[in-house]
This record gives sequence, structure tokens and C-alpha cells, in this order.
Amino acid sequence: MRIFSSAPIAFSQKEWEEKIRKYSALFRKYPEIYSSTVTLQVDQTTSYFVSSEGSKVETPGLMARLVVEANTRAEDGMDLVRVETFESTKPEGFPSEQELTAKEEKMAADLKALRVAPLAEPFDGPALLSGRAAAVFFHEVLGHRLEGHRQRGETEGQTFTKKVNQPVLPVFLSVYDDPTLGTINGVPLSGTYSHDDEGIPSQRVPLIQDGILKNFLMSRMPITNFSKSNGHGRHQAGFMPTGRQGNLIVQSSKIVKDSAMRAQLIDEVKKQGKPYGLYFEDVQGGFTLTTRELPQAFQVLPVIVWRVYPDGRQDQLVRGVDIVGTPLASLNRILLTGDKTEVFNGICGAESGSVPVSASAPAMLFSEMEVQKRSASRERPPILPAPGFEEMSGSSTPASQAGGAR
Amino acid sequence: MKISGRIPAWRAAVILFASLALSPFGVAAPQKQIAADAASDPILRALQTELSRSKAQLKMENVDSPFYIEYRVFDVEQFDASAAFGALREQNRTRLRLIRAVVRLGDYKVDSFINAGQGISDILPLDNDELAIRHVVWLATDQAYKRASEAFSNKKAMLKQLNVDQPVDDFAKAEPAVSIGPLAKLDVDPVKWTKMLESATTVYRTDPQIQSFLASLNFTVLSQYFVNTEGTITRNGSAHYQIVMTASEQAHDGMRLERSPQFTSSHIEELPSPEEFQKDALKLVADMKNLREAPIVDEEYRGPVLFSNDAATDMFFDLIVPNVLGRRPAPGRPARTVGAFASSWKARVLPDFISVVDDPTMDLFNGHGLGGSYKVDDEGVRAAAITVVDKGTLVNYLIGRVPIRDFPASNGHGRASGSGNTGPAPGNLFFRASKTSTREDLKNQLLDECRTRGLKYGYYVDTLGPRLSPRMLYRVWTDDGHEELVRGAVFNELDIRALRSDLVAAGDDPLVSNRTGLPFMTIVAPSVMFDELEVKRADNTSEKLPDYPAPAMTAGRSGF
Repeated sequence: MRIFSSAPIAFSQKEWEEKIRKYSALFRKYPEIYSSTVTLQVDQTTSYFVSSEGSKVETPGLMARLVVEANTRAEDGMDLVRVETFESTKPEGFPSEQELTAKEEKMAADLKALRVAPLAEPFDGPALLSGRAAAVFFHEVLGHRLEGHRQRGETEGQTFTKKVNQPVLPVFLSVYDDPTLGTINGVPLSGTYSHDDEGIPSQRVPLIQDGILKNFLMSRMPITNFSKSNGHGRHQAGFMPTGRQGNLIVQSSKIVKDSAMRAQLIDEVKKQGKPYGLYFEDVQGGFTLTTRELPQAFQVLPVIVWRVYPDGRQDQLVRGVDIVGTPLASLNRILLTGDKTEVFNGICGAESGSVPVSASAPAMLFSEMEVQKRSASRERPPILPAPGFEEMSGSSTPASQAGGAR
Repeated sequence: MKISGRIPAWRAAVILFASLALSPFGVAAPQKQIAADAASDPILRALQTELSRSKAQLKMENVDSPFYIEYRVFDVEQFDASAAFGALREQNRTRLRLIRAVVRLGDYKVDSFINAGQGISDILPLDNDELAIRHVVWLATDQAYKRASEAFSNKKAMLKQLNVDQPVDDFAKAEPAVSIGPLAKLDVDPVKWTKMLESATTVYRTDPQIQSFLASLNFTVLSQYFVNTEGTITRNGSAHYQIVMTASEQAHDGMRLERSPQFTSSHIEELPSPEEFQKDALKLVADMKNLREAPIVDEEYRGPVLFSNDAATDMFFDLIVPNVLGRRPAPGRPARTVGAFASSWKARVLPDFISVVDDPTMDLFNGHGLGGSYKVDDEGVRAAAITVVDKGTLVNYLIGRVPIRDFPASNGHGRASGSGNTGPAPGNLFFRASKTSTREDLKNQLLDECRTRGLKYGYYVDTLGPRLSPRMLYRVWTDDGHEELVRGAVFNELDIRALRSDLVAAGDDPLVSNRTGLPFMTIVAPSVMFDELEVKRADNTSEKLPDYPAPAMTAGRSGF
């Protein structure tokens, strides 16, 4: 029997209502940001678990999340969105007003640049993923496929079911899931818990060691050769627990300094004789805070993608990039990684509901990644200018600088 | 067909238009006040600003400008709580402000109001921040216009494939209305009410056979705003307070039994006091015991059945209300309206001693608040009393601004349940009998009828559950008139045919029944008697009782 004491919520509702009003008002000065929201969600939960086997677990949970979302639409109808999320268990864990203002200004600048950025062209070539992008990529492409129950359903792809003790990743990569870990580089991790939702103590589970598949994320539903839970049976209240990720962490032994990654990308572009490589600065999966929508367990949506030219030209922002082909195959095309681990915290939706998770990874260089143009709505931007900007002429908002060079 | 019960409708329509054209709504002084009220309301100001901007400028290349735009704002504040077995389960206080923007292309005859062209809903800021409100209105209008344009071209293509032999306008013309009422506010002490729920539900302890016992409340207050490009500006507040107690159990043979008495009113003072509510809870416990010990009904009965006023309101709500709404069939379909009375205009639908009138303009009846009261409907049309059934004959449908054949204008019954589409719905629907009897007379009529037919007993139904199944049903014995509670019955063929042909008497005891949910509606009806109705045994599977008894009522709380 274990009981964990929970700290009382220290958030002042009144104070935070004022804050999010202020943060949300910052977007008013941007006529091209058609809609934006700032949301604070504070959840304090206590879950109780008892079973006829003698388990008694009481688990408190406290999570506060600040989500800033801004939307615009390109002239051709493509909807563009930027989301920044911050998580903390105490008010002072959130960014200061100055930091947040800077973030929002960056979001606004990104969107302004994206609105006028050229559309992505079909491309197959070298790509560099930032740590956050790589983390989401691993969560979606690898993490979900290592969930135990996916190894037994008739309808499941069972990509990894028969690959135990076989290489599935380059030899310099290891992946584990560790819900016992509270922070990485001082960043709190969302997928931390002491016991899973079936009363099993959490533990660090090596999933892939030096590229070799070793284990799955197990709930108490056994699969061939894995008869026991490893503390990953998770659920949202009301759903049946299944094997889920907690804190997924990708480690590498083939590292270059982050500052050298760009040069490595350019080398690879030159080596393959491609006109450019792609740099995925940020991506958005079913993993992010689109909790109002249906779980999109395996989607990876790149949002900030740059063309990096080998001839010294400035990088060029492109929009509407969709990763295609078998994302899994691209996992074996990782050449090397950066030296700094980045954390992506979010809410993951799947059959057993929405659960908080994190994924952490260093930046990664892929020898090959296939992308195509994303299909998008053809709805035009608003016809009339935004309230407060009536003197402007509607959708023909002057584009500041085509190409969004940086 | 009558409006206000006096003027034949075809004349009324003419007179109404003529008189309105001459003097639109009252004298000048209150209008000045109304204008001042409208100007001081930040929501109305924001809506008006975007309305005039959109009306003047909204235009896409190769697409018509809108001929009509409306905004409907639905500001709802709710307090919900429930307690079970003496303990509070949940309590929530929520506030939400929604907008519906409707943009119509084309003209009144053929417009874009179909499928995705029926408007856009979004969440409005709760702060009275005009710019923030306008921003949402701006986007909703833009999207509604684009959707309307797409829906309109699809509709025109579809209409080309159909023979529409008696075209009815798509959108009824209506005179502008200006009416600024007070806003509604939810002003309750949550502790008082949650305590009352907790205390009432502790009475389950007196009867271990009761499997669930809960009490819940829903208090909803609404402030609604409406503006359109025809010049209508309205604002009104309304409220709805409801408390429900629910108990369920199984009889010794496994039959599931449930009761859920409720109290609903537009005036919070009409809800029971904690003492009264406690008494009601004890009565519910007693009723549950009587019910599970009651005999099961005979396999079949055919004969007179007396409905209490409570049961009658439920019955009329289910059987009459859906059929008197003027709802337009899909394009190309020749029917006047949908529902069982589609072809019953000017035909008899009820016995000739019953008339049905909807009067949203009444606030009180016999001192009871009427939940379905309003001055202007959710499409900005002024409400008036409408005779729906005159001496048994259907003379009118309740209709909003979507006309149906022979009913080209709204009679002020376009209503909304939130930010969705408006549709026809009653306000306060009165079932009035021209000949009435006292409760005692009705019982005697029932017994006389039984004697004539050689029946040992008749039936009296006190309350109904879902799908008009009787919950508190009594045999009334012919020999001595005593009433005996029974269980496990359903009616067979309790339908509009039975209402038309077999309803023979009505009581002098009209009951105000404020209905659950949105839009707020009220049914007022007396007891009624059928001279023939079939009551038969329900064909339900019976489940086993719980394997072991409920937790001991005396046990204290044990530590974890």
C-alpha cells in the first residue's frame, strides 16, 4: 500500500484569468492572425485503485497546462496554425510575461511568414529534424507500434511483433520509456507516474537497445513471450487500460554538436547531389493538444519546415509539407544525432483515452525523407478586414516579405 | 384558423401587415428608451456594428451579396448538482456564450438556407469586450457567407432536378420587432441547494431494498440577443429551475421499477422548500415499497382509463406536440408538413370538447409560472396566442419563418435550443375543455362505464414514465371504488387515433407542466378519460436480484 500526498492547488483563478486575458490580447495587433486562444487548464486528480489481489494505490495528480494557439489562412485557403504549450505543477513554473510575449511574437512572425511561404514540392532527400520534431516522430512512428496490445489484434499491423531481438533501428540508437523520471535537463516530464492504472509500479523499460528490439509497453494483457506488465497499463477514466507510453526517451551514441548538424545536412545534400535538404524545425502530431479532435494516433504534421540550400543561399520556409512513404523505413535512415535532448510534452489520445505523455530526443539527420504537398481546403481568407483594422482592404493583407527568409 | 382567438387568420394576416405598416409597435416614448437600452448594451452594440459592416460590404466575386443576415446570441448560466445516497456526487456552475450567425443569399422566395448554408455557431467571449466579440462575429459571418454561397449553388442544381408544383417561399417575410427586456441572472446559494439534495437522499437508509436513490437539480438562466438586417433587435432573459428525484429497485420477481418525480418552474420560489422536499423523499420511499409489493397487472384489459392531469400533460406532449409543428418537408416533397397531422388541416384530431391554444404571452396560470413564456421568438417575431385546435379541429400549425403550404407567415413559434437551428416549437400549450368534471365525477364516470360493460375494475393512471409507460397505475374496483396500485403495465395503441375517437371526458383541474430542456415549453392540461384503451402486461425480461444485500446501513465509515 502506498499513499502519496498531494499538494493543494496554488493557482489563483482570478489572477490567472487576468493573465490569460492579457496574453490573449497580445494577438490583437496582428490583423493576419484570424483567431487565437490562450487556455489555462489546471487539473488536480486523485485516483484510487484496489484489487482482490491486495493492491491499494492512491495516486494524486496535479497538472497545469498553458496553451497558446494562433491561426491564419494563406491566400490559397491553407489553414496554418502555431501552438505553444507550457506545463508546470506550480504557477511560477510558467514563463514570465516577457518570455511569453516573445513567444507570441515569434508565433505571429512564423504565421506571417508561413502565409506567404511557397508550397512544398514533392521531395525525397536528406532531412534534419529538430529534437522536438524527432521526439514527436518517435512517439508516433515507433512508440505507438511498441504498445503491447498492438502485437495481438488481428486488425493491427503488428510491425514489430516478430522482430524481438532483431535490429529495428541503427545500432547507435536506444529507446526506453521511463515514467519514474521527473525531469530531463530541468524540464518536467508529463508522463511521470508512480503506479500505472492497473496498480503496477512504474519502471524504466528498455525498449530498443543498440538498435535491437527488446521489449514492449506492457499492461496486464499478456502477449506471446511477454506475460507480465511492466507498468505501462494506462487509461483515461472510463476507458480500459492498455499498454501506453509514459516518458519515451531516445538516446544516441553517434553524436555531433547541435551546431554542427546543419553542416552535416549540407554535406549530405551535396553527397546525394540534391538541390536542397529539409530542416523540420517543428512538427505537430496527434500528440499535441488537439484534444478536442479525435485521436490521430499516427499522424505527424510538420509545421515549420525550411529548405536548406547547399550553395549558401538563405534558408527558405515552405508550407504544406506532408511526410509520406513508410515513416518506419525512414527510422533506418538516421545517420547521426545532435548532442542536446529536447522534450515534447503533450496529451496522447488512443483507444484507452487521453493520457499525459512526453517524448524526448536529440536532433537527427536522416539520409532520406519523402514528402509531398498537403491537401488543403480552398476556402479563402476572410473577405472583410478584422474589426479594429477596418481601413485595411480585407484578404489582400500586404505580405511583408515573400519567402520568409531568415 | 385563429390568431388571438378572434380574427380569422387570412384576415388577420392582412390586418396585421396593414396595422404594423402604419404604427410599428407602440408609441414613441418607450421606443426612445429601447434605443437607449440597446445602445448601452455592449453585446448589442458589437452585433450591430458587425451587422451593418457585413451588410454594406460583404461580397465575393461572382457571388451575390447577402439579402439577409442575423445574429443570435445565447448566454447561458447553469448550476447543476446531484447527490446520491446522502452524499453530493457533483456540482458544476457553467457559463457559456454562443453565437449563431446566419447569412442568406438569394431572396425570400429561394434562398441559400439549406445544409451547410444554415449558419455558423461559435463561442463568444464572456467578457463584454466589444472588439473581442466583434472578432468572433466577423469570422462567423465570413464563414456563414461562404458556406451559404456553396449551399446555394448546390441547392439551385438540386432544384433543377425536381418538380416543385406548389412553390412556397423559403423564408417568410416578417415585420421588424424591437424589444429590449431585462437580462437573466443566476442568483442562488449553492450550499442551500446541495444540502437539500444530500439530506433528501439520506432517506434511502430507511429501505435497504431501494437500489438507487438520487436527487439532482439543474438551474438554467438564459439571456438571448437577436439582431437582423431587417431592423429587429431583441433581448430577453428567461429561467428554468428543475429538481428531480429518482429511485429504482427490483420487485421480488426481478422486475425493475423506477420513479422520478420532478419539479420544474420558471420561478425559483415555486420549488419545494427543504422540508417539503424531505417529505417528498419519504413519500417516494413509501411509493417504492408499495410499488414493489403491488400485484402485476392482468395479461390484458380493454376498457375505460382515467389519466390524471400529470399523466395527461405527458401524453399530450408526446402525442400532440410533434404533430402540430409546421415543419417543412424536404424540397420536392408534396406534403404540407411532416408529422402525423400533415394532411389533417381543417380535420378533426381531438374530440370536439377540446381546444388547444398556444399562448407564449402569458406569464402565469392560476398563480403558477409558465416556463414557455416569451414576447418575441428566437427568429425575432412577436409572439401571439394561436389557436391550434378549435373544438377538436386542427386549424393551425405552430410555425416559424420557414413557411409551409397555406401558411406563408410565422406565427411567432420559431424557437432555438441553444446555438443550433431554430425550428417550430410551442411556448405555453393549453389543452382546454369546454365541458369539465370534478375528479369525483370522473371517477364515477369511470365506474359507471365499468358497470355498463361488466368490468370488475377500471384503470387510473397517476404518472407516466418514458415512452408513455404507466408508473403509478391503479385498478379502481367497480364494487366499492377502492384503488389498488399495480405494476408491470404498458398501454397498447395509445396514439392519435385513440385521442381523436376515445377521449370522452376532461377534468376541471388543469396542471402546469413545465417541460425539461430547451427551448423552454409548458403544457397545461386537465385530467382526461378514455372510454376504451388497452392495458397489457409489459413484455420485459426480468433480471435476477443482486446476489447479496446492500451494505449494512449501520456501518460507519472505515479508513482506507
